[in-house]
Amino acid sequence: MNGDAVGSDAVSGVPVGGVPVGGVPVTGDAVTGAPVGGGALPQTAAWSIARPGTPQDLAQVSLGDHQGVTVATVSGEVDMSSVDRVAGTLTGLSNLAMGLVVDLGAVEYLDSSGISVLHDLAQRLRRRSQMLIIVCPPGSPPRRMLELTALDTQTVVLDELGPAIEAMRSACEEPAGG
Amino acid sequence: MSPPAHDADGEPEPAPARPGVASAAEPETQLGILLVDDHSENLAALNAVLEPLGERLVTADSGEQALRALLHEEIAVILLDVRMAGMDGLETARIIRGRPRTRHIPIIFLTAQASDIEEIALAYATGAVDYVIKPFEPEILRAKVSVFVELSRERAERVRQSRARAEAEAVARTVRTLQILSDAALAHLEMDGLAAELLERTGTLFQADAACLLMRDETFHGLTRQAHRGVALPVPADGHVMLGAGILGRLAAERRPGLLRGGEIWPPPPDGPALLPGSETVTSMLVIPLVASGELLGQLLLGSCVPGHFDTGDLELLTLAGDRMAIAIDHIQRFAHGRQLVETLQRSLLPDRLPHHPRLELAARYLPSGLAPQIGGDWYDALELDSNRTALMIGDVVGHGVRAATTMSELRNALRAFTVEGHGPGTALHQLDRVVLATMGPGMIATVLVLIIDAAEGTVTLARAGHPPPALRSADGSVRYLETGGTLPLGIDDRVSAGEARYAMAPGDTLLLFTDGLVERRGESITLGFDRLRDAFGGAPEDVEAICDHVLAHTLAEQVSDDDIALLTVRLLATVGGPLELTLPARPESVPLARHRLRAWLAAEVPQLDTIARGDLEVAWSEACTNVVRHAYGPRDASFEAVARVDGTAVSLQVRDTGGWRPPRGRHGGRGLALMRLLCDQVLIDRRVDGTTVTLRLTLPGPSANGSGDDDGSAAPGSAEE
Repeated sequence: MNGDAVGSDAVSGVPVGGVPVGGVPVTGDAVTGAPVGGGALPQTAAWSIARPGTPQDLAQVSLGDHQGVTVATVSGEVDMSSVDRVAGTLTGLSNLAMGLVVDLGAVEYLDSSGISVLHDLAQRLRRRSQMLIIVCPPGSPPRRMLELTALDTQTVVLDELGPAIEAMRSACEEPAGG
Repeated sequence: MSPPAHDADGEPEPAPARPGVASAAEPETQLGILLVDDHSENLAALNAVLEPLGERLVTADSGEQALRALLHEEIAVILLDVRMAGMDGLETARIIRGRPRTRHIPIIFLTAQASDIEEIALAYATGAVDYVIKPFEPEILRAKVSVFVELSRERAERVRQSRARAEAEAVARTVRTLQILSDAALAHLEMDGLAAELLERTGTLFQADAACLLMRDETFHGLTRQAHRGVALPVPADGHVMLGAGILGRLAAERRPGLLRGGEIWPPPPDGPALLPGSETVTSMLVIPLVASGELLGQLLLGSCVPGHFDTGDLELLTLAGDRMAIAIDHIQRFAHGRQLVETLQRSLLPDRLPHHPRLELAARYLPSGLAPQIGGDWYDALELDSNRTALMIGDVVGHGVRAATTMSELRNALRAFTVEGHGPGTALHQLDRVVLATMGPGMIATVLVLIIDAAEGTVTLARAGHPPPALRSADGSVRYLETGGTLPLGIDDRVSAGEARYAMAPGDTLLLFTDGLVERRGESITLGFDRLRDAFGGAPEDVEAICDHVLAHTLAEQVSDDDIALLTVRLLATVGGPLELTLPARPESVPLARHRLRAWLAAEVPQLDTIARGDLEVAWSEACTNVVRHAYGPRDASFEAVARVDGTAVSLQVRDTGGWRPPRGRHGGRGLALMRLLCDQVLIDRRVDGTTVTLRLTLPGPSANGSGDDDGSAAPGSAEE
């Protein structure tokens, strides 16, 4: 073929923002909750073995236990079409848990649908005296949404999962110590 | 007292000879009659009178003995002498009536005293109680007793029937259970597992001491033991039963069920005495054939060490269950190669996602063969070669199953390698042919189509080896097949190079790649199939996903296809500068679809925007679409339009519906609108009776920093917000 690589650099820059539609399978280190649709191909649909972009692939969420702290790992794209599954799992927190860490580290897209769910979650946990920590890397698309909607001022947002788990653990020990 | 009778103490009436009693009941159905009298002569007389009834007579010479007898005997009627030494008849009756187990047993009092009769009448005003005054008339006594016996027999029959009904229900449940078992087993059990499961279940359900499954063995004219549980059954030590040989072989050959006992099961050796049954010897046995689709698959044996354990009802039930089991076994044998492996392979052979190219829309379908969920020989593949060129491959390996899948996998990987190395379709196919001939041996035949689309050039270059040509649909809807030369399948002659051809592919053109299952129907010329596909493709909607569905819906025959089908559709989008125009159903799944299309469009059309700005536009556009889907519509089939264009120095996104857009209500809608305003330089909402248009504008970075001043460009007149 001819040397056509030149004028196409702009085009090849696409994938930076253009994340794969399929979504990343959940890879928590202690995931106990069954990953919802974790990248599994639809097995019943007779003729859609490969059909990228279907809503069931869009967002995944799972609850896991990290050193005694419940962590909800969300990934993929959270929008109107995929938010219900995420919301359903996030509300499954036990009454007995100290709180919940919601890890948005693998979320590629989040809009007001997801913000509303997080907002409701923060309110409910507050009523139940449970703590909510959102983990979201700086500069990521979901972090921008948290900042634009000022949700980061109403709830604790940390950059990384490790410190979030630490914070939750120390918060658990706090009441006993004083 | 009127009829003349002899005293009970007198000479008993001679009992009729036993063989002469026509109504003598079978031993199993005999009912117990308890005779209680402290005079043995009276007992003898009663015995003699009642013996013709053919029932089981139990005697007791005291109240205490009667009560003891009632503890371990099933009694239908009691004849009770009132005046007895020790515990008298009335006292005994009170105790009998006080015990739940014996409360219902009818009692006939025997007495010579009128005062006793009054007492009896007082104490037992209700219930199955009668009395006979001594000296009694034998015929009358016999008649009375026989009435009670018949009543009791009827009651027992009713109990038996209700128990039978309960059993029938249990049986139905059993069959359902077996069915469930076999269905569930299909998903994960191999033959061995299924056999063990079935023996376990049937053995338990029929309370068998032994169970054995014999399967048809084609290596000889007979059956071979597949699985066995419990004590020994009359299957030869080597596990082989010849058809027609022995009782099992005969039953199998005639496909007959059998209920066997004792000597039938263990025929005495010709040169020795019969085997003596031990406690571990099967003395009752059920044999049923397993037949599915008219074929004898095997035989199921159940054995019990309890003589007469099985009856014809059991045989009928097992035969019924056997039909279900045969179906399950049949299924498993057909898919003996392991569904899991096949599924994994199949999945690994088809790309789980198609490459994203800003100028290409791709969609694919794979339909397994309708006959069996086995792996087919079809596959497709797509890979991005560089920023402009995308390679698409589709192929069909002759045959099914794991071997075809493995071949397919090798072909796919080799073809990927050749294509990525930079070879054109013709050369890649030629090299692939050499690999096939060199490594895969004779008899391996495959057809393959390779094409490379150059989005910048607007061309498609293709070569095929025995594969149907792709169809190209122009923007005007006309469809043609892209022919090439050199169409021998792979694996025949690698000296013939596949001919390469190049066609123009204009923006808006759509290519359809497929395997022959889509155009071939048994007993029909393939030309008809190609014509049918051409019509279906020409009449299909714009969207590539919709094209796949439409084409499949309009080309597949009514009956299940015995071939698998792969289908790959690719559309070349308009060149730089064109707007993105979408018409989508007002449903949640349209929101991510619109976003993904915008994502590709932004990357291609406004690369100067940074990723944050593009992300912002994605969110704003998604919010506008979400509002439409969430608020604007009732009917399911409503649609909305979404248009993205570069408008002077700004990106303009419009989402237009044709329904009554209600102002956003609640936190959610408000939050969406607030986000739109935060993310864009301008948000215009134009509400009209025939619909609402939301226009979002974001000024592009560039030399003129004040580009957003004149805003009336695309904003329709109306109530503008912000």
